[in-house]
Amino acid sequence: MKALRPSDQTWKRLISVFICLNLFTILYVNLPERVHKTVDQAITARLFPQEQRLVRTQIYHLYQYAHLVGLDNRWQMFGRQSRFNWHYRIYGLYSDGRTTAARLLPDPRQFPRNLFQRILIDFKEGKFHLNIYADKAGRMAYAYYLARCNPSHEGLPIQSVVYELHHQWIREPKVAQSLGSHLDPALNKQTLDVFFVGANQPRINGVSPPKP
Amino acid sequence: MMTTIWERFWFGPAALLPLSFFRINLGLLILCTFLCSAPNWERFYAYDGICSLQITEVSRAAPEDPQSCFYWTEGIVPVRAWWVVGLLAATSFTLGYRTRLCTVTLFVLQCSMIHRSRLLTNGDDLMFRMLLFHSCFAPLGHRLSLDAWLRRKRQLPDLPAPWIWPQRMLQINVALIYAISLPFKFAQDGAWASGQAIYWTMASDMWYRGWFPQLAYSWGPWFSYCATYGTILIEGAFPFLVWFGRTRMPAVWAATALHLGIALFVPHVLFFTLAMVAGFWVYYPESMLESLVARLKRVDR
Repeated sequence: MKALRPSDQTWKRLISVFICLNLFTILYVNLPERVHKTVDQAITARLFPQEQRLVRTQIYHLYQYAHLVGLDNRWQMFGRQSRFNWHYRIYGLYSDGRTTAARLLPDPRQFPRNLFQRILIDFKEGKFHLNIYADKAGRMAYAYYLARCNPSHEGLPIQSVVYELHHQWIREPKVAQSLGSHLDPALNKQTLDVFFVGANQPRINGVSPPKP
Repeated sequence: MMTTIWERFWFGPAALLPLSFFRINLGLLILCTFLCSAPNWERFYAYDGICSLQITEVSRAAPEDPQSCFYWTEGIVPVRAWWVVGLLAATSFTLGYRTRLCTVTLFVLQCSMIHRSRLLTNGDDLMFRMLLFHSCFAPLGHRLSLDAWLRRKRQLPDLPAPWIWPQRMLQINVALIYAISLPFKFAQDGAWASGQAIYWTMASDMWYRGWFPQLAYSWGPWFSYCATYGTILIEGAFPFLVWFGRTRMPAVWAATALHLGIALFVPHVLFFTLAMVAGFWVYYPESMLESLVARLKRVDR
């Protein structure tokens, strides 16, 4: 029996559909938020409930597809520029109930690093700190991780991890030029979070525990 | 008429040599990122690493995405094994051995890294994933590869000329990055219109940390103006000029210079900006690279 093999023309049609799907996905995902809202309002205003459900399901499937194949990136390179320099100061509070000690936890961005480490080894650290800036769950996850890695200090068990945000305003370009420095000397501090991490932390043992 | 244009644009013969240069450049970059991730791999991707997935409050607030090989092999395969797989696949991809298999492996691994924890996702991860997705369909191993050498050695017949559509998808997607991001720049920050954006970028230690920030203000606003408006000009012109024979290479070289400049002055986005440069190989005309290869062969002899 002769094997069924699609002709070139069939392949071209299928590939054309695939190309259109991918291009439409990239463009749709990258539409401004305002356009998405307008589309959503138009769906609500102009379609019957059944049609609305159908269209919304298709949009959901489109997003699922974009997520699956990795076309869900929103390309916004260096869009918003920060007007202040900031960094976290993350430290652990160790206590046995009578004595308390604070210790700076080993995050690569709060210790001196050489050029090789800063540019190559720490290539994800800056973005990681930026990503947890607006994400309390992310900061909590990292606090638990640091606590697991540093469970005790001078015989005292860890009780909590504190995030302090230190920031310095960047001067306007003209002011920076006239004063010869781009950073305002005032260092502002703000305690962002105190995560209590002391109770029965699972320890790192090299092998991940099975999922519950 | 439209059908002919469509047919010629998407289903002409692929330019194999630019795709091979693209493969080698992308492969080397991915290999570098795997090597640089080596000391932090468990910290980044282990179940009890930075993402702390075993902590109930955390996993409830930011659940892990199941579209990841880490998720399905948790507790069975040590997470370090995936690093070894990635390193081997990136080496093999660069050399062009079992190219298609390595491309798919790297794509799956890159998706897994992104889906393990969105907190660790960098611009270069997203760029690699996009390039690898389109590469899964592209004939990357037909030239300058071990696959091609082995085919010749075994005296196997030449493969039929593949269609160009995956290369076109790569070209369009790279051009779209500029076409999409430029309007967002103007919408998100007035500094792009006022010519101060590069000053703020260079003054921020999030992206820069330490190398000559005084360049951006010492000589007045001119450095920042030239760099900001130059960036806008290159990014704005690239998606259009790159489609015409005469303007293609100047547009590609200008964008390459822009990204090499970013790599120098904003070292924290090194891999992202070099991934963009890797993506530019798909625009090079085959004839230009043929003559380059011929010249290299002559030097070799």
